[in-house]
Amino acid sequence: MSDYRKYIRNFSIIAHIDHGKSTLADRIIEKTGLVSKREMREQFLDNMDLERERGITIKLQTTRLVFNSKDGNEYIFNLIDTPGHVDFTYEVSRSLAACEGAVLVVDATQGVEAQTLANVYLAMDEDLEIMPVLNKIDLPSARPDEIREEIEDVIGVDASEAPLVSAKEGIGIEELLEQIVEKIPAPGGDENARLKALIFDSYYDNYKGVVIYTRIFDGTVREGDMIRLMNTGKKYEVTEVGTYSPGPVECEKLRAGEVGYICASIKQVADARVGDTITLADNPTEEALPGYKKVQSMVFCGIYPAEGEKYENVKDALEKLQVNDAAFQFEPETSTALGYGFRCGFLGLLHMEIIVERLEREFDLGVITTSPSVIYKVVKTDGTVLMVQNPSNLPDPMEIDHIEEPMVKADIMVPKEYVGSIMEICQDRRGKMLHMEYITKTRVNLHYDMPLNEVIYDFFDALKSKTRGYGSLDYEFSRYEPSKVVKLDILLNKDMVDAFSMIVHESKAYARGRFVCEKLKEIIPMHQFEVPIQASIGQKIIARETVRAYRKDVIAKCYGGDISRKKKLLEKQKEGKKRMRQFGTVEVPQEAFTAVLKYDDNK
Amino acid sequence: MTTTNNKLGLYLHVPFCRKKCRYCDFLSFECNDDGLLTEYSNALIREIRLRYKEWPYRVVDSIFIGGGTPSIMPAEDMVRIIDEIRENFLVDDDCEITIEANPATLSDEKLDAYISAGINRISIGVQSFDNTILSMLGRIHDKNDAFKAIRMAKRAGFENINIDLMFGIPGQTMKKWRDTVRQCLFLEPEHISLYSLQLEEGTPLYKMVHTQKLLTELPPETDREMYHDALLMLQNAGYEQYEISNAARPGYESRHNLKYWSYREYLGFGPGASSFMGGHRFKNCDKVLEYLDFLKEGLPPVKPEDVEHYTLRDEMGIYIFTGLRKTEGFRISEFENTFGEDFFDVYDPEIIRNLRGLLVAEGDTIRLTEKGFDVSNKVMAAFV
Repeated sequence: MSDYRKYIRNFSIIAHIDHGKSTLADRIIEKTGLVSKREMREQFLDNMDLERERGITIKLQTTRLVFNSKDGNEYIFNLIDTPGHVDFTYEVSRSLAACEGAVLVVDATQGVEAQTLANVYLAMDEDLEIMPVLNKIDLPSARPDEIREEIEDVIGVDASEAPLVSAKEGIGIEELLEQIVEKIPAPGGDENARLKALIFDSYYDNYKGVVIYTRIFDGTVREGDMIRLMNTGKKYEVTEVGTYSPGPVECEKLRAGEVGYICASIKQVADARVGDTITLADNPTEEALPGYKKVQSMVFCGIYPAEGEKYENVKDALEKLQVNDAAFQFEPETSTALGYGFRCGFLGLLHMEIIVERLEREFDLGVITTSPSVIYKVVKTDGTVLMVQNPSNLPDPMEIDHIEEPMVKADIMVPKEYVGSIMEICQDRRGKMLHMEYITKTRVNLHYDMPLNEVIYDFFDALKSKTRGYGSLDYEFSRYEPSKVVKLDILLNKDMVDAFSMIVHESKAYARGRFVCEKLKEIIPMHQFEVPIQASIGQKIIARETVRAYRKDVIAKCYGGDISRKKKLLEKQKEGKKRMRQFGTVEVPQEAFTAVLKYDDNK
Repeated sequence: MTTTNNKLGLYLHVPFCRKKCRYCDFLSFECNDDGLLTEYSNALIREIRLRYKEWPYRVVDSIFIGGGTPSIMPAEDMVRIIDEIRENFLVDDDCEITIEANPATLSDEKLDAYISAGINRISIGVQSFDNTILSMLGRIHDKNDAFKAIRMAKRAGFENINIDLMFGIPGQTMKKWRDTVRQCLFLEPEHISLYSLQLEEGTPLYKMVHTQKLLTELPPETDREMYHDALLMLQNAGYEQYEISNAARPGYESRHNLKYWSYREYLGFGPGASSFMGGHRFKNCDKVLEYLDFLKEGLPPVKPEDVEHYTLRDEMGIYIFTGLRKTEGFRISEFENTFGEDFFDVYDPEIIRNLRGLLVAEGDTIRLTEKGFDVSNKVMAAFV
């Protein structure tokens, strides 16, 4: 083995949300002296405000650290961060593929969770060395011995030497770093072989174009090389190579075993797809790295400019987001109710929420989102197959032979006292239990076969609510299955509002129709006339509510002292009106669109 | 900004009652201690002197003593206060001087003292002529007290009497309400105020309706029926409605209250009292003890945070929403004189078209329709 590789350690940190991954990363960065404590922002790796606020990592950050070990040698640590949510499984798997080892952070008070397991399995698929660490050891409720046993039982890795750390308090970090040197293997590869490098992330830089994060498996790459991306087949000239520590530092070359970045004047992140293999155009490797797949959107919804917002502004913002997010797609569509807007595809519900929130925060845009939908496979009577994700595009019922809906395999991990309520909410959502196993005496893993459309609706909220936040969920697409789904429409004052239409299972249509009508009745303000709210399947009305006409909106007294108060009241009323959306003669507050999707504890 | 009439209205607040009514969320405290009331009068007198130095040589053509219950003040204190105003401000000979009174707090002596001090208008809080409703509201008087109070006021020489009535009260039927209005008309007051009960959060009545569910709120349809019914009865009896909640025999409209709706200046005395002077709006501090302390120190009882900083556009909104409370509405030309801007440059004519049926523009005036009164907030919100 070439000498330089002996001193490289490529690893990720994997954990369940809230188990302290980002804080631990911060401590490691701090300990290796990369960033002084003063410069240290809380959770260094979570760059976006949104990420910091939600405490989750969406976009990867990769950092090269220098560690002086007790053995007298200087080691290069490439810490490759992974996104921490079920929507981003593929990205996680590619990041892991760039490593030799994974530091598995387990909360010493909580133990193993569904996502811990999901991530561990991904790491095992990549043959990584898994190095468990017990975090939050400073908390009085920490149970290190029990959790150690749990890790060994459930995951099957030796946890006897797992360092006990508190990322928050900075306890045990030194020992952890020494163990990384000791336990995680140095990378292999041959720097003189033909170039074979993995793209595990990319982002768009206004000056450099797309910046590719890469792990070199074989060969060497330099500025000026012509590279080819094996799956897209496109060729580019390398304009810069370098490493992140934590800002970009240009270097002469990247060699087998190293991790760094490559710029090659690429215009869109979609052209440098995660999982693709980089090789040299005139001396290519024979075989691409395994595991590449083109990411598929699983969840779709309409995004429309809110009242007073310009279509063009929303379009510009979506384009900017897309440049940086290969998994996000959109195309223009029109709705009779909402006008011109966009049909957008996401990896999952969280991904959708993130994009919508970024539109609102980073671009200061007001948008309306319609009910999220999955892709249905519609088999027509003439044998043709349509993939439909917008309820409005569903063909006439007469032309439909049958519809198939996407199913997922869902793993739900809960403390055993919640098993009953979880079974209830799963059953309620057409879930079929495949099996269930006790991971420990107190924790259960439930395996369900469930329709994706039930998962994206309010399942996660329900799960959290019914388990007081202790339940965790992981799911992946399994197959399409024939299903009796129908299109549910909502009519306001007899006019259909297409933005409220949704595809639901026949057995749920009545309940959903009733729920939406009741919600809208609460939210739609009184008008000067009665507003009937109806839910229908085809021509058949299945639920109805009425918003009474208002007759009175007046302040009886307004003398000297009341004027300022009254002014504020009128201003508030006017503000409220601005957030209204006009459908024919009916005004609907914008929050109506999200409110009809929210999980309701009492239902 | 200019105001067409620069005569000033003075408002004096008396934040004390014998007992607080269940629906009340005004600034008032229960007080049965004449010593405190006299101390309070002294503070008011100090504020009058202080304010006069700030706004000297102003002619006053209306004074309104409101509350609370001003009639619980010892008569001699009330007389001292009025005298002090006359000592300082230039009070017009025909100045309208109103005092608010609770029927259970009046006596012949008190009323005689008021007349001799020059108080020429009395506003009596009757609210209802139904004893069940009165006790449910937590009023300290019954209907006989009300009859007696009005008789006494007339006998003392009051020729301008207002009766406050309230409708839309839980448990009130149309019949009970019509009876109350009929009784009121029988007493022939010069002025009648009709207030739709507002259930204010935090009041005992609100709790009785929303938390304890002892009472049921009347449906808005009934409230409006009561309102329009009463207005019709008043109209047939020779009263003219001139504001959302006020009607009077011609010539007896309240000069003081009209100032609030006609963008005129007013100066408020006492805790929580608001002023609109020289284009500025400010409010005295709310707490009685703090108020007393300010004046002991010889300082104006206003905290910096109680000075409103309104833009010209804010003021335009106020001009319009207060003006629209009057049945005659407001004049576009007066608006333009006041603010020096073209009305339709500021407000899109589309706003008025969109409010068809609720708002009418006829020549120079813009006013609400009778239907518009019912939903006046919606209309006014378009202009703020």
